[in-house]
Amino acid sequence: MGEVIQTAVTILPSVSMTVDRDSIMAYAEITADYNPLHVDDAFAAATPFGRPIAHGMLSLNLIWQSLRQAFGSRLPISLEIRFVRPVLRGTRVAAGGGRRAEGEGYDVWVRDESGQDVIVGVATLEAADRAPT
Amino acid sequence: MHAECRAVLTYDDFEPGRSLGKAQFSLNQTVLERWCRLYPSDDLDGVMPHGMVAAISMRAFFEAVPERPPGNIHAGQMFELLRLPRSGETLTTRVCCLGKEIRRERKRVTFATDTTGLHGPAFSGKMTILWAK
Repeated sequence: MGEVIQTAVTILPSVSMTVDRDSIMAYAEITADYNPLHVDDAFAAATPFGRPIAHGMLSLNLIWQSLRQAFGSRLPISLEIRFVRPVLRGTRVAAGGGRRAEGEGYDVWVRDESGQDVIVGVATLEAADRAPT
Repeated sequence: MHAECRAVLTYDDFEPGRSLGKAQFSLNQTVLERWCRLYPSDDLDGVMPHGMVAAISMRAFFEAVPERPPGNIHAGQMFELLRLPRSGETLTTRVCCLGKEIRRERKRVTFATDTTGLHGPAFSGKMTILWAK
């Protein structure tokens, strides 16, 4: 990782959406990801989830939107996340984040309507003259 | 060979360090409009929204690794976003297997993606997938 940039931003804006069938199918079309876990009701019904789950990246975009609202087009940005809980179809999710209490960068997350984390991670802004990897 | 004739890749088939190929993606107005129908606030007047790094990387992965078993789960993801390409740029993403391990009886395979365009490196990523077979 290159030199990390510190900013005055302490809280990242909240961004939310409802992950419904239309949004899942739209994301499947964009990414060509037709994993039956996401798009096949019968397949998903036979899994422990019981119904389709959204593509993790669909909800991840809310973190990118939050980062863009906070930092505009400032780059490079490094974002490392884990998908910790599936997002069931029909769930409303919200992304946000805040400056890390320890360490550099920002803790970022996507949470479901009960407040449980579905995506957690860390975003860092790096020096603009960082050599591409 | 047609995809339907290929055998599904299993965990044992992956060799860490091995290139899996590359895929091209034409970032054009049609693609951007499709994205903005799903995420209306991502209209950046011809500039790629940050979150499209995920879609482009995933499309490349699916093209490079078409023989995926149903039920794979995306567990983790890292991105380094260096610049935002503009409409009209063709992006090339190279995909390789970075590593694999079995942890808590789950087969984890990590892939690297590196995306470049006419104006140089744009973004890179690492994705960890729980491989179903």
